[in-house]
Amino acid sequence: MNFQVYNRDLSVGDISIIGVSSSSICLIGDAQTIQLASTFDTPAESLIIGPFVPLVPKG
Amino acid sequence: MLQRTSVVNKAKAVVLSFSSTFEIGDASYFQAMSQALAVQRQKKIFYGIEGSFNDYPIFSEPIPIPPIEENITFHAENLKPIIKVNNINITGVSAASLLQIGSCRHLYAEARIKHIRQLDAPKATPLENNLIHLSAPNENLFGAPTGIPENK
Repeated sequence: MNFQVYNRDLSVGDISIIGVSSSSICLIGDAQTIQLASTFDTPAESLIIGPFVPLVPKG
Repeated sequence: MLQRTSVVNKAKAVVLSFSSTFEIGDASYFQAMSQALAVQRQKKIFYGIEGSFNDYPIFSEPIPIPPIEENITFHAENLKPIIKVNNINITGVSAASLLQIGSCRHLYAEARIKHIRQLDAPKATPLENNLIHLSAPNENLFGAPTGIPENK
């Protein structure tokens, strides 16, 4: 695939962002490669209702 | 290829935390990683021996990244080699994140979060005392006349 880009005028007024979170990027510029990965694990076993015991290793 | 200049008049970031970066200028490689064990416990109990990342496979398992199979010939012609932004206002940058004014060749960021909630068990109470017996609309619970005539 041939990918041809013409960068002409790029002028932005205001950027307002509340949060850039968990492996995200706010880039004012150019990049060649961007790889962002994020995992979030909250399975049913992670909701523990009962006596307060130390955390047990569970997937 | 990365020849454009970024021009920002004013930038404001309030909070930068947990392996996050605010980069002004160019870079060739950016890599960030954040591991978090987010525990919400209803009572203020801290054992001090918990929280080893090795106990949870989420912190060690490989994250599959889609392979780039297609050969791409990329060519950018910078007719106006400037990126202009007047004002940036960001409240928070967190957990392996990047805010950059400038160019970066390769970017890689990784965040792994394990979320655990620990809640108190509801207190067991004897059933007879707190059950409210509901009766049918025409059934009199106490056996005494109600005074309201029944519609038939």
